[in-house]
Amino acid sequence: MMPTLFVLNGPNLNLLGLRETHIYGKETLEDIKKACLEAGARRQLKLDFRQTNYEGELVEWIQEARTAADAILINAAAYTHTSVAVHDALRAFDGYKVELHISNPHVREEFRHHSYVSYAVDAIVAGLGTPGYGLAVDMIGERLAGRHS
Amino acid sequence: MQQSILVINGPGAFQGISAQLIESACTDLCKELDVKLDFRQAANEEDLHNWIAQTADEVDGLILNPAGCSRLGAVDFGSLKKPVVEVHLHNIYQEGEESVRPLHNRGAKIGFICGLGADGYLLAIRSLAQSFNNKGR
Repeated sequence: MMPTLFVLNGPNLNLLGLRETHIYGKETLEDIKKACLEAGARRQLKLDFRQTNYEGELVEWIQEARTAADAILINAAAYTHTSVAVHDALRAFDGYKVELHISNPHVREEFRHHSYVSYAVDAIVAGLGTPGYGLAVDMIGERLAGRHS
Repeated sequence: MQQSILVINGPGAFQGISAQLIESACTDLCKELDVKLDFRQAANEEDLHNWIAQTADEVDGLILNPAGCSRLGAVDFGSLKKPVVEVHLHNIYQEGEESVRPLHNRGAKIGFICGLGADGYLLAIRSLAQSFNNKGR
Protein backbone atom coordinates (compact mmCIF):
# COMPACT_ATOMS: atom_id res chain seq x y z
CA MET A 1 0.00 0.00 0.00
CA MET A 2 1.20 3.52 -0.78
CA PRO A 3 2.26 5.45 2.33
CA THR A 4 0.33 8.66 3.07
CA LEU A 5 1.93 12.04 3.76
CA PHE A 6 -0.02 14.99 5.16
CA VAL A 7 1.49 18.35 4.16
CA LEU A 8 -0.06 20.82 6.60
CA ASN A 9 0.24 24.57 6.26
CA GLY A 10 -0.65 27.18 8.86
CA PRO A 11 -1.84 30.78 8.91
CA ASN A 12 -1.21 33.30 6.12
CA LEU A 13 0.40 30.75 3.83
CA ASN A 14 -2.65 31.14 1.57
CA LEU A 15 -1.19 34.58 0.75
CA LEU A 16 2.12 33.23 -0.53
CA GLY A 17 3.28 34.99 -3.66
CA LEU A 18 1.12 37.98 -2.72
CA ARG A 19 2.78 39.23 0.46
CA GLU A 20 6.39 39.94 1.47
CA THR A 21 7.75 38.26 -1.65
CA HIS A 22 11.29 39.37 -0.70
CA ILE A 23 11.08 36.88 2.19
CA TYR A 24 8.76 34.15 0.94
CA GLY A 25 9.29 34.31 -2.85
CA LYS A 26 6.87 34.73 -5.71
CA GLU A 27 5.53 31.20 -5.81
CA THR A 28 1.96 30.72 -4.62
CA LEU A 29 0.72 27.94 -2.35
CA GLU A 30 -0.87 26.39 -5.44
CA ASP A 31 2.61 26.25 -7.10
CA ILE A 32 4.02 24.59 -3.98
CA LYS A 33 1.17 22.09 -3.88
CA LYS A 34 1.91 21.17 -7.48
CA ALA A 35 5.63 20.65 -6.72
CA CYS A 36 4.73 18.51 -3.69
CA LEU A 37 2.29 16.38 -5.68
CA GLU A 38 4.91 15.84 -8.38
CA ALA A 39 7.56 14.83 -5.84
CA GLY A 40 5.01 12.62 -4.09
CA ALA A 41 4.07 10.89 -7.34
CA ARG A 42 7.75 10.19 -8.11
CA ARG A 43 8.15 8.62 -4.67
CA GLN A 44 4.82 6.79 -4.80
CA LEU A 45 3.34 8.70 -1.91
CA LYS A 46 -0.30 9.45 -1.37
CA LEU A 47 -0.19 13.15 -0.58
CA ASP A 48 -2.79 15.25 1.20
CA PHE A 49 -1.93 18.98 1.00
CA ARG A 50 -3.87 21.42 3.20
CA GLN A 51 -3.78 24.97 4.54
CA THR A 52 -5.70 26.63 7.37
CA ASN A 53 -5.64 29.91 9.23
CA TYR A 54 -7.19 28.29 12.31
CA GLU A 55 -5.15 26.77 15.11
CA GLY A 56 -7.88 24.31 16.11
CA GLU A 57 -8.23 23.05 12.58
CA LEU A 58 -4.48 22.44 12.39
CA VAL A 59 -4.69 20.49 15.67
CA GLU A 60 -7.59 18.40 14.32
CA TRP A 61 -5.69 17.59 11.13
CA ILE A 62 -2.67 16.41 13.12
CA GLN A 63 -5.02 14.24 15.22
CA GLU A 64 -6.58 12.89 12.03
CA ALA A 65 -3.10 11.91 10.83
CA ARG A 66 -2.81 9.48 13.77
CA THR A 67 -4.95 7.01 11.86
CA ALA A 68 -4.78 8.37 8.31
CA ALA A 69 -1.11 9.18 7.63
CA ASP A 70 2.38 7.71 7.88
CA ALA A 71 4.15 11.04 7.97
CA ILE A 72 3.52 14.77 8.44
CA LEU A 73 5.36 17.67 6.84
CA ILE A 74 4.23 20.74 8.75
CA ASN A 75 4.73 24.44 8.20
CA ALA A 76 2.85 25.77 11.20
CA ALA A 77 3.87 29.32 10.22
CA ALA A 78 3.12 31.77 13.06
CA TYR A 79 1.65 29.02 15.29
CA THR A 80 5.16 27.55 15.38
CA HIS A 81 6.09 30.22 17.89
CA THR A 82 2.90 30.29 19.96
CA SER A 83 1.08 26.99 19.97
CA VAL A 84 1.51 24.45 22.74
CA ALA A 85 -1.62 22.80 21.30
CA VAL A 86 0.13 22.10 17.98
CA HIS A 87 3.15 20.81 19.93
CA ASP A 88 0.97 18.42 21.99
CA ALA A 89 -0.90 17.18 18.92
CA LEU A 90 2.39 16.43 17.15
CA ARG A 91 3.67 14.54 20.16
CA ALA A 92 0.61 12.33 19.96
CA PHE A 93 1.43 11.43 16.35
CA ASP A 94 3.71 8.39 16.19
CA GLY A 95 4.64 8.58 12.51
CA TYR A 96 7.53 10.42 10.92
CA LYS A 97 7.27 14.20 11.23
CA VAL A 98 9.23 17.07 9.75
CA GLU A 99 8.95 20.80 10.47
CA LEU A 100 9.39 23.10 7.49
CA HIS A 101 9.78 26.85 7.02
CA ILE A 102 10.31 28.74 3.78
CA SER A 103 12.59 31.29 5.43
CA ASN A 104 14.98 30.53 8.29
CA PRO A 105 13.32 31.80 11.49
CA HIS A 106 16.70 32.02 13.28
CA VAL A 107 17.99 34.80 11.03
CA ARG A 108 14.78 36.80 11.46
CA GLU A 109 13.18 38.66 14.38
CA GLU A 110 13.93 37.29 17.83
CA PHE A 111 10.26 36.42 18.46
CA ARG A 112 10.61 33.78 15.74
CA HIS A 113 13.63 32.08 17.29
CA HIS A 114 11.66 29.82 19.58
CA SER A 115 9.61 26.98 18.09
CA TYR A 116 7.17 24.79 19.99
CA VAL A 117 7.15 22.48 16.96
CA SER A 118 10.89 21.72 16.92
CA TYR A 119 10.78 19.70 20.18
CA ALA A 120 8.02 17.50 18.81
CA VAL A 121 9.38 16.53 15.39
CA ASP A 122 12.11 14.28 14.02
CA ALA A 123 13.69 16.80 11.69
CA ILE A 124 13.65 20.45 10.61
CA VAL A 125 14.11 21.97 7.15
CA ALA A 126 14.15 25.77 6.96
CA GLY A 127 15.40 28.61 4.82
CA LEU A 128 15.57 26.68 1.54
CA GLY A 129 12.82 28.82 0.03
CA THR A 130 9.69 27.37 -1.55
CA PRO A 131 11.73 24.60 -3.29
CA GLY A 132 12.30 23.22 0.23
CA TYR A 133 8.82 21.66 0.10
CA GLY A 134 9.55 19.49 -2.95
CA LEU A 135 12.95 18.52 -1.58
CA ALA A 136 11.44 17.58 1.80
CA VAL A 137 8.64 15.52 0.22
CA ASP A 138 11.21 13.71 -1.90
CA MET A 139 13.33 12.93 1.16
CA ILE A 140 10.34 11.79 3.26
CA GLY A 141 9.20 9.57 0.37
CA GLU A 142 12.62 7.94 0.23
CA ARG A 143 12.54 7.28 3.98
CA LEU A 144 9.05 5.84 3.98
CA ALA A 145 9.91 3.58 1.06
CA GLY A 146 12.85 2.23 3.07
CA ARG A 147 10.61 1.67 6.06
CA HIS A 148 7.85 -0.12 4.11
CA SER A 149 10.08 -2.46 2.13
CA MET B 1 31.40 26.82 -15.64
CA GLN B 2 31.00 24.06 -13.08
CA GLN B 3 29.67 25.32 -9.75
CA SER B 4 31.33 24.31 -6.52
CA ILE B 5 30.29 23.53 -2.97
CA LEU B 6 32.51 23.53 0.09
CA VAL B 7 31.39 21.32 2.97
CA ILE B 8 32.92 22.23 6.31
CA ASN B 9 32.53 20.00 9.34
CA GLY B 10 33.34 21.27 12.79
CA PRO B 11 35.24 19.23 15.36
CA GLY B 12 33.10 16.29 16.50
CA ALA B 13 30.53 16.91 13.78
CA PHE B 14 29.79 13.29 13.00
CA GLN B 15 28.74 11.94 16.39
CA GLY B 16 29.25 8.30 15.63
CA ILE B 17 28.12 8.33 12.01
CA SER B 18 30.86 7.36 9.58
CA ALA B 19 32.44 10.47 8.03
CA GLN B 20 33.56 8.39 5.08
CA LEU B 21 30.04 7.21 4.42
CA ILE B 22 28.74 10.79 4.46
CA GLU B 23 31.54 12.03 2.23
CA SER B 24 31.07 9.30 -0.34
CA ALA B 25 27.29 9.91 -0.46
CA CYS B 26 27.98 13.64 -1.03
CA THR B 27 30.57 12.85 -3.71
CA ASP B 28 28.15 10.59 -5.59
CA LEU B 29 25.35 13.16 -5.54
CA CYS B 30 27.65 15.99 -6.65
CA LYS B 31 28.82 13.88 -9.57
CA GLU B 32 25.21 13.25 -10.55
CA LEU B 33 24.42 17.00 -10.33
CA ASP B 34 27.69 18.05 -12.01
CA VAL B 35 28.84 20.10 -9.02
CA LYS B 36 32.40 20.27 -7.72
CA LEU B 37 32.72 19.19 -4.09
CA ASP B 38 35.31 20.01 -1.46
CA PHE B 39 34.56 18.08 1.76
CA ARG B 40 36.58 19.03 4.83
CA GLN B 41 36.84 18.25 8.51
CA ALA B 42 38.13 21.02 10.76
CA ALA B 43 40.44 20.18 13.61
CA ASN B 44 39.56 23.37 15.48
CA GLU B 45 37.53 26.59 15.30
CA GLU B 46 40.43 28.41 13.66
CA ASP B 47 40.15 26.15 10.59
CA LEU B 48 36.45 26.80 10.48
CA HIS B 49 36.89 30.57 10.47
CA ASN B 50 39.61 30.50 7.82
CA TRP B 51 37.73 28.19 5.51
CA ILE B 52 34.50 30.16 5.77
CA ALA B 53 36.39 33.34 4.86
CA GLN B 54 37.85 31.54 1.88
CA THR B 55 34.38 30.57 0.65
CA ALA B 56 33.62 34.15 -0.32
CA ASP B 57 36.06 34.00 -3.22
CA GLU B 58 36.52 30.41 -4.14
CA VAL B 59 33.23 28.53 -4.05
CA ASP B 60 29.58 29.09 -4.96
CA GLY B 61 27.94 27.63 -1.90
CA LEU B 62 28.78 26.47 1.61
CA ILE B 63 27.46 23.64 3.75
CA LEU B 64 28.41 23.95 7.36
CA ASN B 65 28.05 21.48 10.20
CA PRO B 66 29.41 23.62 13.03
CA ALA B 67 28.74 20.92 15.66
CA GLY B 68 29.47 22.49 19.01
CA CYS B 69 31.48 25.48 17.75
CA SER B 70 30.23 28.44 19.66
CA ARG B 71 32.24 31.34 18.27
CA LEU B 72 30.72 31.25 14.80
CA GLY B 73 28.29 33.96 15.87
CA ALA B 74 31.15 36.33 15.18
CA VAL B 75 31.31 35.38 11.52
CA ASP B 76 29.60 37.93 9.28
CA PHE B 77 27.61 35.53 7.12
CA GLY B 78 25.62 38.47 5.73
CA SER B 79 28.70 39.77 3.91
CA LEU B 80 29.57 36.36 2.50
CA LYS B 81 27.26 36.81 -0.51
CA LYS B 82 27.21 33.07 -1.05
CA PRO B 83 24.39 30.77 0.04
CA VAL B 84 25.05 28.85 3.24
CA VAL B 85 23.21 25.79 4.56
CA GLU B 86 23.72 24.82 8.17
CA VAL B 87 23.39 21.07 8.74
CA HIS B 88 23.21 19.10 11.97
CA LEU B 89 22.88 15.32 11.99
CA HIS B 90 20.51 15.27 14.96
CA ASN B 91 17.51 17.37 15.88
CA ILE B 92 19.27 19.92 18.08
CA TYR B 93 16.06 20.61 20.02
CA GLN B 94 15.98 17.15 21.49
CA GLU B 95 17.39 16.15 24.82
CA GLY B 96 21.14 16.13 25.18
CA GLU B 97 21.70 18.67 22.40
CA GLU B 98 21.15 21.81 24.48
CA SER B 99 24.67 23.11 23.86
CA VAL B 100 24.10 23.44 20.12
CA ARG B 101 22.37 26.58 18.92
CA PRO B 102 21.59 27.52 15.32
CA LEU B 103 23.37 30.36 13.56
CA HIS B 104 21.26 33.47 13.96
CA ASN B 105 23.03 36.15 11.94
CA ARG B 106 20.20 38.54 11.23
CA GLY B 107 19.33 38.83 7.55
CA ALA B 108 21.97 36.36 6.36
CA LYS B 109 21.07 33.84 3.68
CA ILE B 110 21.40 30.67 5.72
CA GLY B 111 19.37 27.51 5.28
CA PHE B 112 18.91 25.20 8.24
CA ILE B 113 18.56 21.41 8.28
CA CYS B 114 18.68 19.13 11.30
CA GLY B 115 17.63 15.64 12.30
CA LEU B 116 18.07 13.96 8.92
CA GLY B 117 21.40 12.33 9.59
CA ALA B 118 23.58 12.01 6.50
CA ASP B 119 20.57 12.82 4.30
CA GLY B 120 20.74 16.39 5.61
CA TYR B 121 23.93 16.93 3.60
CA LEU B 122 22.29 15.52 0.48
CA LEU B 123 19.26 17.76 0.89
CA ALA B 124 21.57 20.76 1.31
CA ILE B 125 23.50 19.85 -1.85
CA ARG B 126 20.28 19.48 -3.85
CA SER B 127 19.02 22.82 -2.57
CA LEU B 128 22.27 24.64 -3.44
CA ALA B 129 22.44 23.01 -6.88
CA GLN B 130 18.87 24.15 -7.58
CA SER B 131 19.72 27.70 -6.57
CA PHE B 132 22.76 27.69 -8.89
CA ASN B 133 20.57 26.58 -11.78
CA ASN B 134 17.92 29.20 -11.09
CA LYS B 135 20.55 31.93 -11.02
CA GLY B 136 21.90 30.81 -14.39
CA ARG B 137 18.51 31.18 -16.07
